[in-house]
Amino acid sequence: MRVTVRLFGSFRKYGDGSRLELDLPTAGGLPALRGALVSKLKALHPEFAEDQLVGESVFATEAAVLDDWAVLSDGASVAILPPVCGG
Amino acid sequence: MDEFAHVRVAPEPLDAVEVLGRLSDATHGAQLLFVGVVRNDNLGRKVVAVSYDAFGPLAERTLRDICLEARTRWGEALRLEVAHRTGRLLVGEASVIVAVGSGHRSEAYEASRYVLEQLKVRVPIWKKEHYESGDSEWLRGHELGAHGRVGIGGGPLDANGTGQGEP
Repeated sequence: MRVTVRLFGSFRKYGDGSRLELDLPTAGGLPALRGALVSKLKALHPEFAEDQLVGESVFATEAAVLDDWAVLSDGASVAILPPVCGG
Repeated sequence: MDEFAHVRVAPEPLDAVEVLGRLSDATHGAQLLFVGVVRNDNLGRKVVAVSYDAFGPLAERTLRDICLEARTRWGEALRLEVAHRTGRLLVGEASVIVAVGSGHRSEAYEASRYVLEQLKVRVPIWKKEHYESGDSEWLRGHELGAHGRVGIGGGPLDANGTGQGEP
């Protein structure tokens, strides 16, 4: 299935700076999405070395931050949110 | 939006006078205004500008949650105006406003501090500093913890990304 990941903060330097399209096995959840995102970033940017930042980030919809057991369906759109620092 | 609080995360410049005007309430004896501005240095580096990025819908939703928490803690009479800018701001420009109206000064001070401190650790906003040297850097921030996370709840997430539990 295909999932769109919207990019924010320091992730904006990757891909087109807005979003990435990922292909996942249907049985995947957010842990699988996290792994697929790291793989995609390394494929697009061989110098990518921010695995830790991906681990420190959360996935969210426009309504809420998601738990790792949230279920994704084909065509889902989520955002990856690195640690925040407003103000 | 609830009448007791207004929140906004947007690129338009912040107007403190306008914000205070919206707080007007004859039952209030206190109006407190906090304005955060872009500073010209950070950890010894000369800063010339800061770019703010935000996940707007979730940022405003989280701010509304924080305002509700403040009203629960400091009373139904509390009124709040919270606004955060996005985009590139120069040194001296206002990045965030927290304005509180209340019956007495004590709850205004406490609620203002609460809203700002919660904003810094819970609201999906990020800042990139631009330095005099010409380079720039996204600042390290606070990991979003379990605040408001949702699990499976209803069905799978849909293509609109509206999430579980949406009406």
